Amino acid sequence: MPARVKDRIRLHLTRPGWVYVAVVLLLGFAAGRNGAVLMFGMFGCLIGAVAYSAISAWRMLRKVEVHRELPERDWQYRTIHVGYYLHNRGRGSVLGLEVAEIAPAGVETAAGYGVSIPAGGGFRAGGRLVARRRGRIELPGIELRTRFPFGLVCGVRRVPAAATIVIWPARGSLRRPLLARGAAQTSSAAPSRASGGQDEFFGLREYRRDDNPRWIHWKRSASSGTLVVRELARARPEVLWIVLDAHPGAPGETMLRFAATLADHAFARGYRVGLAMAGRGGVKLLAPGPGRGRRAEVLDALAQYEAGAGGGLGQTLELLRRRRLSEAQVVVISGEASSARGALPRVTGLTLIDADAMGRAFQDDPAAAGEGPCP
Amino acid sequence: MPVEAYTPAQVVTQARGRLERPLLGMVSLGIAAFCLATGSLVHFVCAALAVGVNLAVMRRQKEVYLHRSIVTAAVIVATIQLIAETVLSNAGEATLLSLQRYLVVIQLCKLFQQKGNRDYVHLMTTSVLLVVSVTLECRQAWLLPLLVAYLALGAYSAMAFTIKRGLDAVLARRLVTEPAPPPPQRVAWNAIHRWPRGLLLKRTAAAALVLGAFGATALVLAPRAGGGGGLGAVPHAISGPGETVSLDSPERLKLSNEVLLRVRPGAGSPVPAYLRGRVFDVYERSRWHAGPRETGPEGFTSQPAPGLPAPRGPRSVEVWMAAGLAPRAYAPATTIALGVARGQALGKSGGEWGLPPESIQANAPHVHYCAWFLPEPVGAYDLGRLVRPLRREEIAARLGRMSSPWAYLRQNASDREKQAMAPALTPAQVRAIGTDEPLGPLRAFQGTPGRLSKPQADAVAAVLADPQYSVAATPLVAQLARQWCQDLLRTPAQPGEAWGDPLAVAQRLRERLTERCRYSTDLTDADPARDGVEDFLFAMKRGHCEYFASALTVMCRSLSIRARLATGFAVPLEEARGGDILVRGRHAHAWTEVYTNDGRWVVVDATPGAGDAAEASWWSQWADRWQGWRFDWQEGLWGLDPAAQARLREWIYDRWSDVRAAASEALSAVGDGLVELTARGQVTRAVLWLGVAAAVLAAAVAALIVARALWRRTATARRVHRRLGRPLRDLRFMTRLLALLRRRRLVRRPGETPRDLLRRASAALGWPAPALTGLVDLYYRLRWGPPGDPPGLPAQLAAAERLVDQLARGPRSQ
Repeated sequence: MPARVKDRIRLHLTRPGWVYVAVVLLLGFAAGRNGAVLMFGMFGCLIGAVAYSAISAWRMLRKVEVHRELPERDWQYRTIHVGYYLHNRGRGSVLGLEVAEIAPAGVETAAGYGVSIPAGGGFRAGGRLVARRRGRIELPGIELRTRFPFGLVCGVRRVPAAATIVIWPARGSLRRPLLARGAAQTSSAAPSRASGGQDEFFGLREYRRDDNPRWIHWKRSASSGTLVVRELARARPEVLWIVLDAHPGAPGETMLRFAATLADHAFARGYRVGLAMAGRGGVKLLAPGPGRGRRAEVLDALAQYEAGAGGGLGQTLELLRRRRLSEAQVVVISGEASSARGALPRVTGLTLIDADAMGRAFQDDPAAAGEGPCP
Repeated sequence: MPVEAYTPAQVVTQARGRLERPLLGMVSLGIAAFCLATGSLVHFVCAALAVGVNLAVMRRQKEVYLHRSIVTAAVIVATIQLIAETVLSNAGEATLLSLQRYLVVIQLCKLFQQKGNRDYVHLMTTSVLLVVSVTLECRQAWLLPLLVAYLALGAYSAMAFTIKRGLDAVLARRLVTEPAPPPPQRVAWNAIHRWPRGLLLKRTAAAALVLGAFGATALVLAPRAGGGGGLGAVPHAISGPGETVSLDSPERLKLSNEVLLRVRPGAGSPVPAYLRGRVFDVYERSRWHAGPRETGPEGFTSQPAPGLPAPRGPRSVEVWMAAGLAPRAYAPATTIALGVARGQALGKSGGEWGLPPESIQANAPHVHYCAWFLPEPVGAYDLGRLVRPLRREEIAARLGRMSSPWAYLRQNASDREKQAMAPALTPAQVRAIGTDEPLGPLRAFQGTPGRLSKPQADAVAAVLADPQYSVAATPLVAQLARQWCQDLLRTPAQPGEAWGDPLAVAQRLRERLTERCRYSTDLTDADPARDGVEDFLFAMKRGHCEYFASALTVMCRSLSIRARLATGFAVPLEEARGGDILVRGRHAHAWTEVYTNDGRWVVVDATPGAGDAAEASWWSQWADRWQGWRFDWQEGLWGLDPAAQARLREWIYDRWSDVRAAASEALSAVGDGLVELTARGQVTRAVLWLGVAAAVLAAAVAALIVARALWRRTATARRVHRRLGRPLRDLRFMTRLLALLRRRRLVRRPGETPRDLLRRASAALGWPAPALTGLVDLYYRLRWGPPGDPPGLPAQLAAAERLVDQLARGPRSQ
């Protein structure tokens, strides 16, 4: 849990500011020693620049409101664009304002920058961030910084603005076509009850405006005297079960990234994807389902996975009914193939992916591959 | 919509001119200050060429630069030269000059280098150091406006550079997952839409004010007691009253506008019409000389102008004098005491005093003194009575080095002066003055002021009988004087006695002089071989003040009327400025002082219309102001010594105490009044004033609010008109529509475009989408479309207004 952010303004000299102050003090000392009155006046002006910088930075930061526009979920090691709406409630303009997230561990940020915000006006600045770890990341607040006007004093204001973002495991690419045939082409089951697909014949209906003329059933149209078109049934999507056996000794992060990549591919191809994995809280089971919501649930579960003695592969598979597995394509991702093989049920369409097979089938994200264990 | 703003944003991030233009101005001003201070024409020409080339190239959106190795080599050569000059030269000023030249060369090199942010920092730093070093040695008045402009330009440049550096940092920021920084235009779109020139100018003005306030405070508080250490420049020779008055060399007259004196009459003292610096008694062969004894026992008496009532008691005048002026005390009358606040003033006889050159070098170019004089025509025996309170109350506190006026007299009076006072003093008293005895014996002399005692009159007669005081008036001049005053003259009873009432005779002569001669500074036809006064009266018949005063004095003396020539300044009352008077070189003047029968020296100014010159042009008025400001600058720069700083602190503290006491008193009065009001129901004066003040304040605040609202409304309309090129009323339909939506609780979200908002409104309120799309299209066309009115705009606007009216009446029925 990140520390709570207090809304306050801090001012500190920048590195050039320290050098500047030291040089100016030396000049003032020299002016005092020599009785150079005008030089002493210049010394006052130069010191005044520091004071003006501090006052100006404090006044600017005091009256700025910031609203953040952040996606709820995103991938690990992908640039996440964050929108900041800066509103200046003060009477004076705000110039040279940086805005960035107060980044917790494992998050790298690039600040947004607003050159000018007139009094009472607003500005949309864009920042970026990259998460180097997966899971639910709490962002405690936003940091506003300015070095305007002279770059001597840096004013920093930390605005409490708690937000959460779920970082999915980094997405790589599949070298081997584990899902070689798309769901639209592999309708092995009965046709679905929904029309509008490209599968088997569903029925006839009247021609409507904007229908493709190629769909017109000319023979029936000629006999009935009105245009009718053919309708084909929508293919029932295939089911993919991803079973994760991430025991403590296994290369867990790579497995998670592989599972997330596989799930993402499957959802993109119209699969109904289910997930079964054993973690610290026991076995987590997500029934197969289609759509963006289920995709988010599956990837969220993978993102928030915590390894632990929650049960082995056998216990996980026991929870899955055999019939379900027999109707689906099952990918078991396991760190140790020898122990996993003994627990596997004898069902068709089951693929075991161990560490070696994963290396052959999965191209990890280059940024993630170069990193160590998840922070 | 944002397509028009996209390109400027991209341009802004790459434009160099926005930073380099003010930076070049800053560099130019810094080098110009150096060149003006040192008179280096070569550096000025080089800098002008370099800056000009850079500006010309910048106009073409290009950059001129040499190969880095060439620039580096030039810098190395300059550094070696600096080191060599530093080693070989022992003088501090020469080293400073070498350092300044080095800084100039570095800046010139940087101007021809391919510049990055670090080079900009180097340019600004070297420029600031150069200007600071110039302020170390130069104290001319022109430096102040130049410094103000430099600070403003420097502040603007620094602000522009800070913004540019921030943008550069954002552009260069690369996250771990990014192979390269994002494209500039993408960052620019999220960082800047247009260059905030107006905002930066406002900030520059505010920064200049703050920096100026800090600089002024530092100037006031700057330690000045440490001495100039040889840095103070001896002011150049300045014009003013000469040491001698000579009518045979008329070309020496110089009328300058330079301010020489600032005069502040003391408390209770009237503004003097004349400041006398020196008096001349002996005239021979067109030249005036000071007599061996300028001030007799009655020499302490003088009167500013005839006809004025003679004030009693000692008077004072405070003078700030340019040290280059002839070193003497300028006062309305003969000085009896002199308080010098600064400088090494050395008193001399006859009210003169001097300033050694070494004291001028080590101190300020101005000398500040307070001259004390007695306006009453009193004899020496009255001094004791008048001086005693003076010494006790004021002189001891203000004069510093002088313990009393008598000490001054004791130190500076010549033996002849002491002897001249002998008829009024006993030998013991004379001895007392001549020794270290206090002035106790003088207290016994209590006489009636304004009348000469018999011994004094005898002494005066003896002085006048001295052949050294004779005035060589030519027979023609003496005859003319007798002819002019024939009806006023009587035969003197004894030699040396006046031929008539001195003042009446002098006035008659003055009138005739002004009728006969006119004022002119053109004396080209003067005859040096002839007596100056005779030549003036009979040949030229024109001249300046010295001719008129000489003629009058000589004519008076030819009639045995005691008169003398005085030089100094005619105080220009029109130059009075808040109690102070600025006296310039052109105010140098000469006049006549006539000794009247009642023992006064009365000023008779015979010069006609000396001040009736042609009306001053605007340029001369500005030149006068500049000279006055220059004098104040020098005085302010030098004059705030520790004592003056202490006085300033005391003054501020006193004013603050006054304000605090007044506030406390007012609050207590109001409190008492409120108590009276609540206890007895009586409205006191304080409560009444409080009510009036509250009402006035409330009215003022209300007026301010109304005025501000009106101003904002018009300012907004003007701004929108300027930005859009069309009046704000054309967009009123959208303003009304947005207000209508706000009433329906549909508020525009951050970052939401008007099109998005109206789409949301259409879905939420069931308003017709095509109509709203038409409104948005019209709005976008007006705001971001090509300039000029689209065809049929009035009809479209009327239709839009009607549509908004319909939506307001029954939006759900649409």
